[in-house]
Order: sequence, then structure tokens, then C-alpha cells
Amino acid sequence: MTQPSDTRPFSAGPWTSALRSLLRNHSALASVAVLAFIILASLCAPFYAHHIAHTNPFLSDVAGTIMLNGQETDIMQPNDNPLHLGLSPIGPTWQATYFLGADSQGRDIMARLLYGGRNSLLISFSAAVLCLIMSGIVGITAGFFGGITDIILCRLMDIMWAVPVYLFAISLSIVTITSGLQIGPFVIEADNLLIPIVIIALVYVPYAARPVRGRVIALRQAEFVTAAKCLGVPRWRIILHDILPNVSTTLVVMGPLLMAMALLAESALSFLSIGVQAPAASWGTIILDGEGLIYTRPMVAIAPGMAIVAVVLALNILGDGLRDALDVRDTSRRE
Amino acid sequence: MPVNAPLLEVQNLCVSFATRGQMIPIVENISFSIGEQEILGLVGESGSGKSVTAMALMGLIDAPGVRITGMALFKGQDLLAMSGKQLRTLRGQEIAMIFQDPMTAFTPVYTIGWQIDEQLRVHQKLSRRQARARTVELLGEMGVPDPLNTANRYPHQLSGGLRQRAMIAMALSCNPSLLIADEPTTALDVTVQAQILDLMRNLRKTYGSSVLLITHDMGVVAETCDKTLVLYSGRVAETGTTQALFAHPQHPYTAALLASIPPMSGPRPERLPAIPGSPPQPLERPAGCAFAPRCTYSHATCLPAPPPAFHAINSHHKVACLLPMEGTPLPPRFSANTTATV
Amino acid sequence: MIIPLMRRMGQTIFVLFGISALVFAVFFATPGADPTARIAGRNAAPQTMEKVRKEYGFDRPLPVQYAIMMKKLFITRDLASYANRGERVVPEIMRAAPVTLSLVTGAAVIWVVLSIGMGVLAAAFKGSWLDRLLMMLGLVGISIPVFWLGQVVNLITQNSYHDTWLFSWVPGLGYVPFTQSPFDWFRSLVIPWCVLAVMFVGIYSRILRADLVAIMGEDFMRTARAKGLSPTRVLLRHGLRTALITFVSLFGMDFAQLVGGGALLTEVVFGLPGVGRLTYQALNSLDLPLIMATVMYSAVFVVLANALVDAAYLLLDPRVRDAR
Repeated sequence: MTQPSDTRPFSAGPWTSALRSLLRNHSALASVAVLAFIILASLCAPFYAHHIAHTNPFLSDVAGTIMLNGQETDIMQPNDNPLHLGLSPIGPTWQATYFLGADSQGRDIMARLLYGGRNSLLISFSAAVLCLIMSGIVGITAGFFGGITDIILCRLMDIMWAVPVYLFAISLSIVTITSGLQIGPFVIEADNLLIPIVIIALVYVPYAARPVRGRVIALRQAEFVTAAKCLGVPRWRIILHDILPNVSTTLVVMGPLLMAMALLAESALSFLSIGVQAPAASWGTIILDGEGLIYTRPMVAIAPGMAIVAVVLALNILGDGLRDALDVRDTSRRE
Repeated sequence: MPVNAPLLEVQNLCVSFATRGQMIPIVENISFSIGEQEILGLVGESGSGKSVTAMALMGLIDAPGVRITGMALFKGQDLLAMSGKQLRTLRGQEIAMIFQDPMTAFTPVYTIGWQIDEQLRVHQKLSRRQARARTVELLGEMGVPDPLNTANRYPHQLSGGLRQRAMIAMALSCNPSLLIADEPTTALDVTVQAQILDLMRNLRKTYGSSVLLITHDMGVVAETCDKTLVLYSGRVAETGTTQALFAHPQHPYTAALLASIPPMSGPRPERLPAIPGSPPQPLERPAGCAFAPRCTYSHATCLPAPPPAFHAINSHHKVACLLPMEGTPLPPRFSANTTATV
Repeated sequence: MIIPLMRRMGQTIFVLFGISALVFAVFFATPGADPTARIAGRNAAPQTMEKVRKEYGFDRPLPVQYAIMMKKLFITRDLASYANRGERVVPEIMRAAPVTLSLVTGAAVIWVVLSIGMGVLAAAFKGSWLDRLLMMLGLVGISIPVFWLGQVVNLITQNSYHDTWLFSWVPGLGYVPFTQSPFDWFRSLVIPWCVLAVMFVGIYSRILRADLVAIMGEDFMRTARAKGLSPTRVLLRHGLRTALITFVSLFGMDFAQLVGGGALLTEVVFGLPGVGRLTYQALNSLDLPLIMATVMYSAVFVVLANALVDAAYLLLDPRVRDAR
């Protein structure tokens, strides 16, 4: 035998090479920057409220005044119509206080936007992670054990699949919002953020579990798994050492896409007032607050909407980039 | 078109792809010609550039950054210089192609008949009914049982052999002068393979077509082809009439390929000889003879650029190897029993 | 052909049962509160509570409760809402259904046409700036919350630019039945159609492009080109036709889900009195019977529609006809 003339460099692991190709993807990098900026800004919400805007974004302040350009100005101002009927909250001042104006209760929109971002991002991130964990468990169980386990889980998924996602989420929300949740000794209050997180995660499990199951079934028939079985490796070890590392790329690629969907779902639920409960804010509730002001103070609704679009778009681009980098076959929204 | 000019004459065909700013030469300076009603075998390992050559002739390579140079005169017209539109009228009409895997070569959502009708109707002014009549006739000629009903079946409903027959029927539907068959029998059972080869051999009589048969199977070549072209790593190693080439292989690669066919008679060898190593990647192709690193006869003069030029053994046998030029040709294959030790 | 259909029907019936059980469980078996209170609404009088408990059998075991509920929903159809002065729920849903159907059908036409156009164009010019532009547009479409887009569009067409020539034709929010005036029906729905379609245009054009690009690498596309067909014909008759199999099955599912209540947010923003808005109003008055009824009906609708889609799948894909 002649010496193999393989002069190619030592090839890096899948994660390293994926990271490398992700670093070359400019749009993915840009979206990471956007996400980082919005997350950082949201984390600074209390600082902004206390030290820059000097307002309490959870207290209604309809009678208050602020100093604007050296003049004392009412937060609630008479309308522009000829008879000056009714009151509108102050519009964007583009200054530290009421940068984006106030909502109908005289609360600072910019501060609420940041606080709302904390909730929206926290809920969508946790929901995506929870959903990934649940669908990982369901998908691996169904795919690896097959047989009756698989059939039962798949039928269950089919059933959940048949209820429109938002209706399913609404049903679960309305039931828990009315009276909270009581499981044995544990009581979860209606305004606990855990409720929307769990609901959103649960609702998207069928969407995420299917690709995982498909991947596991393909892996189960792969030779290295057969080899491990023949060697008498216990099942849990095969799952942990052979299946899970190979499924993890699928899960990682789905992560940002799921978070994007979760963010949209959260804002929709909050918009329908069955998500985050007042006085806490989320981008969805601020859009709801802005609905009545849409013609007079459009900024109230537009600003949180822009934030949602920016984050969801960035997540989708990041998801696309991850998919290309990790070379996972399309895991797009369905199947 | 001048009398006695070959049907297709390919000169210095080069195909290279651009990857990360580098041009990767897949096929280098391939020249050959096919006469009327001739069957030319294009032999080589996978990756040697056989299929790329065929695809380039058909104008079917549309990868971004591909560069195709050289000349391919088909009935006096250069295929490589043609516009897409001109080429399209030739494709299917004058030059037809059949593919390796009949399982995937038909569009799954249409019936076999529909797909043959389609080709007929694109190139000839036929009514739906006329086209179908011709389709059924063609299927019958290709030995498809019950052609009338088979035409109404979907690809997945047919066996591999039937599908390949339908494929050939489709390729021949417009009476092409040249048929390019890219590994037509590789995906088939041996018995079906023999039937299909038989069919192809008879084509030139019944349809007057020339065939460019691409394969990696020396046995198929021996059975079918008039002339043979051996490709190694994107370059022509040896070309000649099948008879001469099989009897007196001049290139060590050809000789090694032939030696790896199990003999039909005599004692069975303990082990079939294999060629050590593997063909070089296009970018790592040696400057001199591409086969030199794997060749038992390689010596200092084989290594420097340029690759060995063609040496004509006689008017219809050429080889790109230094051995015959240096006066030490390989021994003829059938007169010596030492061929097994490559 | 018969056996797969029978098996599919069996599955459908099973899923229907499963869904009704699931929805029932969500509404009446979640731990936490007395289901009687949920049905009777906020601060109901003790007499009402007692009446509800009797009517729905909440003092009896769960299977009996389930049976009573199904009977009230699908057989006697006399499920009444307590929050809304005893209005019968099922007829209310039936009245709202045509509105939703109008909204979703129009949007579906837009999204199918646009997404096929965009997907095919992007695939045909794969890697070009046009491809990137179209796919970016699609991504943006997917990323916009529909209820927010609706508000912004309302702001533009009803307020800021309503007085310009471009949007002066836009009528006020609301719905005009087709039977009353087809033209006004159309006018009142154009904007909602477009808004609802945006997200689906994004999803479908991206899926279609990905499918087409994958298909373009298939052997049969090479065969089609080798036959001497024009690139357009290869792409449309062979590529698109094959890609449509996935497209149609996805479409069926989404269409059904939208008609079944998924268009709720759009209906709310544009004040269209469809099934979704009914659910929304029920949400605000905590009218659980109504919500449960809409969810149940929509789920049943979705399941039946999916069964229909599978039948269409049989027609579209000859491979499935024989298999299974």
C-alpha cells in the first residue's frame, strides 16, 4: 500500500466548524448584534426608569406634569380637535422623560417598552427552552423506543396538532387566568409568568417533536447505534452518548425559530389580555394599550411592534444561519 | 457536412469549476470522435470525469463558475459555442441521453406515456393522439410487454428494467443521431443488464444511432463497444478500438483494469489484483502522469510536467504513457500469463 | 385505494374523540377551580350556580360530564352562554362562520398566488439579488405580528393617508355581507385579506423555494432538460408540479386552521364579526361555554379538513395511491 497522500488539515468538530461558518455569515452576525443590543437595553430597564426617565412605569399618572423645555406641561393634554374634547397622553418628547410619550394612563412608554421587553424576551426564551426540552424528551422517546410508545405519542401529537395553535393557547390561558392553577399543594397565581411560559411551550411541542423523532428514527437505524446495541451498551447510555449529541444540532437550529414563534405567540396572548397581566408590561400589552390611541398617538403601538419585528426577524435570520452552518436539513415551521 | 467526417468530434474539452476562487479542473483536454452508427465506450472510475464530459456536451452543466473550453463538432456545428436555445432544439431531438438510475430519472407525478409524449410533442408537430400512438409503438419496440397499459402507469409502478426500457424509448422517440448513455445498466440486475445491452447494440441497426456509452464496467465495454476511451483522473489514458485495447493494453492503468476482471476460464486466481491507492483529487493531480503514484512502472521521467503526450501505436490506438515511447511497451495481454501481477 | 381510505377514516374518528376529550379536559378538568363557576361566569348568583351544576352534571363523574357536554354541543345544540343572557352558542357560531370563510378564502387566494410567484422566481434566479430580496421580504413577512400590522395598516388607510387618492376608497372597519352588496363586501375585505396573507406569503414562498431548489437537484429534472424542454417548462411542469404536493398538504392544514379560528387576531383588528371575534368577545366576558364551543367546532373542522386534504393528496401524488 502506498501512503495515503492526505494532506488536508485536521478537520474540526461539527460545532467548531459551524461556529466558523457562522462567523463568516454577516447577516447572522448582524442579527446577533441586534439581539444583544435589545437584550442589554431591556436588562437596563430599572436603571432607565429610575435614573434617566425618573418615572414609575407601573403607576398611572394622569394628573401629573413634567418640565419640558423649561415649561411645565400636562401629561394628559387636550385633543387637537377644534373643540378640544377629551384628553390625549403626551406624545414623544424625544427627551429623557417621556421619550416616546405616555400611554392613556400617563405612564412612560419608553420605560414600559424596556420593562415589557424583559418580560417578552424572558417568556419567549424560557418557553423555547422548555419546549425544546419537552419535545426532545417526547421525540427521543417516541423515535427510540418505537412500537406502542411511538404510536401513543404520535396520536397525542396529532390531536394537539389539530387544534389551531392560538386557540389552544387561548383555551389554556383563559382557564388559568380566571383562577390560577392549583396542582395539589402548589398554587400558581394567575399573574405568574410561568403560566404563559408553560402554555406557549406546550402548544409548540408537536411542531418541534416531529423533526426530532424523525432524526432519532434515522439514527436508530444507523450502524454505530446498532454496534452499540450489539456491544450490550445500556439503552440510557446509547440515548445519552449516541442519540442525544446527534439530535442536538436539530434542537439548536430549532431554538431561535421556536423563540421567534414563542415571542409572536406571547405578544398575541398579551394583546388579547390573557398573557402578561397588568400592571406588568410586555410588548403585546403595550400594543393593546396603544390600540385605542392608534390614530392620535400611534407611537404607543408602533414602538413595541417594531421591537417585536426586530427581534423575531433577527431570530429567524439567526436560525437560518445556524441551519446552514450546522447543515441540518430544513426544520422549517412544519414537519 | 463533409463526407466521412465523424458524427461527433470532440477536441481538447476542458471543464473546470470555480470553488473559493480556485479553478478546479475536472476534465482536461479530452479528445475523441464518434462515427456514424458507432458505439464508443467511455470508461473510468467514479470521479474520473465521465459524466461531466457527457453533461458538458449536452450543455446540462449550469453550476455557477463553470468554465468549459474546447470544441465539440456535432454534424459540423460546435455544441460548446451554441446558444442555449439552439442547443435545446438539438437536445432530445438529435442528441438524447439516458441516465444511470431509472428509479429517479422519471418525474414521479406523471405517467410514463405522458413523459414520452411530452418529448415527442416538443420536437415534432404531433397531436396528442399521434404522439401517444408513437409512444406505444416505441415502448413495444423496446420490448415492454403490454405497451398500451404500461404507458398509463406511473414510474414507481414499473420495475427497474421496464423503467430503463421506457427511458430508452423516450430517448429514441425522436430518432436521435447520437445517444449518450450514462451508466445505463449500473442500477440493474445482471440479467436485465444483459437485455438492455442487447437492446443498445441493436439500436444502430434499427435506428441508425451512434452511442456514447459511459460505464465503469470493462465487461460491458468488451461486450458492446466498437471503440474505447479510458479516462483516468480527468485525462484520457488510452484510446483505441476495443479489440486492440483489450488485446494489447498499452497503459498500465488499462492493463490493471483488465487484470481485475475475473477470468472466465482457467484456474481461478487466489485474489484478484487490485490497484493500490486511490485516484488523486482534482487539485492534487500530479503535474506529470496522473497515474504515476499508483503505477508499478513509474520512474523519474513520468513525474515532471507536462503529462505524457499521446503516442500513436497505430492509426486507431493511442496511449498517453511514456513506456511505449521509451521502447519498453507492456507485453500483450493474451499472449502472456504474467498480467495478473500489476 | 379503499383500505387506506378506511384506515384514514378510523384515524380521523380517533382524533376527533381525542380532541373532544382534550378540550373538555382543558376546560373542565384542570385543577384549580370549580367548573361550575367557570360556566356561570363572574359573580353568579347561588341559584344560577345550582342550576348550572344540575344542567351540566358537575356533581356526577367526569365521563358523564363529558357525555352531557358532547350532547349539548353536537346533538341538542342548546349549549347556552350564561355571561350573555342565555344566548344559544351554536347558532351564533354558525352565523359568524361565513364572515371568517370570506376573510380566509380571499387571503388564501392572495397568498397562494403571491407565494407561488415569489417562490418560483426566487428558485429560478437562485443565488441572485432577486432571490435574496424575495426571501428577505418573506422573512420580514413571517416576523410581523399580524395584529400589529393590522393596526399600522389601519392607521395608514383609515387615518394618515385616508384622504389621499390611494386610500380614499377604503371603507370604515366592519363587514358587509356578500348577499347585501358584493362590491362593498369586496371593498371591506381587501385590506384584511392582504394583511392576513402577509405572513403566509412569507412562509409559503420560502418553503416553496426550498422545495424547488431541492427538486432542481433531482435526476428527473436533469432528464427533463435533456429532453430539450424549455427551462420554464422544466421548472413549472416538472419542478413546480412535484413541489405542489407538499405545498397543497400544508395549505390544507393552514386553511383549515384559519377558518377554524386562527384568523382571530385579524378579525379583531378589523372588526370583522367572524368566529374569531366571537371568541375574542367571549374572552372579554369570560364566557367559557362560547369559547369551548368555538374551540371544539374549529378543532372538528380542522380534523375533517385534514382528512379531505389527505384525499386530495391521493389525487396529487400517484405514489401515495398505491403505497400504504
